[in-house]
Amino acid sequence: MLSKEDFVLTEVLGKNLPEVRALIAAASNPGMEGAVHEMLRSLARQKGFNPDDLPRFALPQEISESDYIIGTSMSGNVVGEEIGVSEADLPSHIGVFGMTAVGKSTLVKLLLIAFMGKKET
Amino acid sequence: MTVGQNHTFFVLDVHGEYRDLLPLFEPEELVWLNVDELGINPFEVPVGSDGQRVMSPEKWVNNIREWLRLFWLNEPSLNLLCEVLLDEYEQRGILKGGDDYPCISDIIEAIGRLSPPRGSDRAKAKDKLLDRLQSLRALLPGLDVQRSRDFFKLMQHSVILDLSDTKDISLPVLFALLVTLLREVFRSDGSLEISRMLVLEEAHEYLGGQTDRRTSDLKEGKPSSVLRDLRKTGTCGVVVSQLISDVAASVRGNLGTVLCLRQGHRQCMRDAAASLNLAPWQEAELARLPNQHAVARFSRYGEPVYLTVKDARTLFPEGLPPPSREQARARSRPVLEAIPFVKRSEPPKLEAEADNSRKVEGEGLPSAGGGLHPRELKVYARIAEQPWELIEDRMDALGFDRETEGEARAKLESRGLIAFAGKIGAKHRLFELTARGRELAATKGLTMAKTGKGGVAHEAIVYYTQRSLGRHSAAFRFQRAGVSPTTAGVQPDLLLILPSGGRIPMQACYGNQPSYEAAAMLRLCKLSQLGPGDADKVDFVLAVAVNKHHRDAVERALKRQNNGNLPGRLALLDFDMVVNPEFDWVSVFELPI
Repeated sequence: MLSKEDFVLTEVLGKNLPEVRALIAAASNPGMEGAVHEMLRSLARQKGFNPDDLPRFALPQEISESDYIIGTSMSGNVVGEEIGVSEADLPSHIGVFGMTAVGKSTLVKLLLIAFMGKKET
Repeated sequence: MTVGQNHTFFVLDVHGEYRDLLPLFEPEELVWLNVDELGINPFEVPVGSDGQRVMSPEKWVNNIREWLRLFWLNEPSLNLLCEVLLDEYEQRGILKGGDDYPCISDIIEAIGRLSPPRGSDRAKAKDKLLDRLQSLRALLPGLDVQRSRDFFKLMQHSVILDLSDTKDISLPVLFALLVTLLREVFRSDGSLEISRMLVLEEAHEYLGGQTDRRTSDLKEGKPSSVLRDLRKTGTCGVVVSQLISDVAASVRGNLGTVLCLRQGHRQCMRDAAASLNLAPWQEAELARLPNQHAVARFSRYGEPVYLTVKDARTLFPEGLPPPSREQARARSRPVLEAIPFVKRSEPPKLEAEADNSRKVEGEGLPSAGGGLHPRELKVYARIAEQPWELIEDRMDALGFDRETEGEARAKLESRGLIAFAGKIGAKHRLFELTARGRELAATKGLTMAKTGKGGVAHEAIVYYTQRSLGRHSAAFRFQRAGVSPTTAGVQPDLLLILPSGGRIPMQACYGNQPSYEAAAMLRLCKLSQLGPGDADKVDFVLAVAVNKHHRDAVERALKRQNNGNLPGRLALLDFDMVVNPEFDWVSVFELPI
């Protein structure tokens, strides 16, 4: 069984990665927990993460192209690809929430500008 | 299709912060207008792309009915409205294809001409309807127009509707009207492709989840149907709010894409985590997000994504301030002039109105100044002079019975000369002159009272407290203007000076937050602890709240701010106590007065 720490590691690294899938399967064997733990930490280091200070979000896998870019995905210090809303997302509407002065209106303006096909200055 | 082609957006700009988008668009692409310039007559059946009415006037009345239900109107009032509206349609030939639609003021006048028996259910419905429609006209003057802008043509442009001067209370009503227009004008469009975004700033005001009678219909299942209606008109709703928990659960559950910036409230973090599909160890991150960072859930990814939002400086050229309102208005004027609306024509002369009114009522009484009947003129002059006066006192002063005073007042109200100014105590209603009423009063040379910034209800509290104390003892003296002490940082509304020289400051509690009132009272109470020789020494503090409910709220706030106790030298009363002729002041002050 995976420990809680290792479970979070697999989430952050992405359960779809073949190496991660193999380690999850190996962890179900009794006595393998220690080795799986070390191998997961090693894999995290290879991917650019500090296993003692893990980011809480993984980079999205298999990103489809976004029509309206609003930002860049991140996982810890690892910068991913540009990401945003696609045409297919629009019929189900969009919610933007957050405290005051944290960037809600800026985010909405970005979205509107992208929606209107405007280029950045 | 090229991204952006034939796309438009509509922003309900509650805080006036979207004007900086204007320089990025051509004037024909994006127009700015405030709510006064909206120019939509809700009683006019909108036209579609072919210039034809989207539905019959009879059907449109049902939409009006559902729309105004949000404005605290009950079934009898809505029935009366539909009846009057259909009557007006018939008289103006609307049912036969005419286009002389009545505006809100016309409907108010038509309702004012009705004469149901006093005290009947119909009379109550009439009063309520008049009250609400007059509020609607005052809150959203951009809806009181004779001919609407062509909504279809307006929506061919992107629009920023500046609502920064609009009171929160009117936002749900305006929003519901816009959704109704969108639904009816664009439903027949046939295309399900999303070509429009509707940005709903402060969305909890109209898609909220709390128990508020005002928007209960919107909240009890309507929110999700609103989103469905928007989708069917090719519109993507962008729901923006500070507190995700205040947005109805049925809306949160229907949002395909959720973008969540930093959250500060525990319940919001929980609700946001549920909407974003976060794992337990991810939830705490929502409180730690730096500015311009968000956690997002896109409908096409199963997992939540952490993202840094694009730098806004790439959007707006540096050193380019957002245009002022005047600049925005001037920029949009040519486009908006091509989609004109017709303002309501000047109201007919008061004489003519009065003649018409009498014809309907079947009376034939001689008219007095301004076309008013002498009885109406007396009530009018009295309200101008003493708007804080209770109806019973006005009846006594004029020698009118309740029915006569009520009829005269209803006539004045229906002519737009006076308006409801607030409720005080458990049952008293106050009235004051409208802008139009003040204009007429000035031409007639009537004495007009000046009320402070607290308004008529505030004046009423002070006036009736002084009167009650004055009746208790003729030896009392009072000071109103420039009342001291001010060293406490609070200027009392009234200072009672006892025959012994003792001083009792009086504070009227109306309109402010209970916590604010309580803090002011505590500052005054501290002055009672000064030495006898101190010029700012007071003997007692008297506070009178507008009603029992407000008094209880202030009392709770006082206890919160004073370690759970009420200050010793304070009497906290409510208005109904003060106007009771049997009220025992001696026991209140605990002083031999």
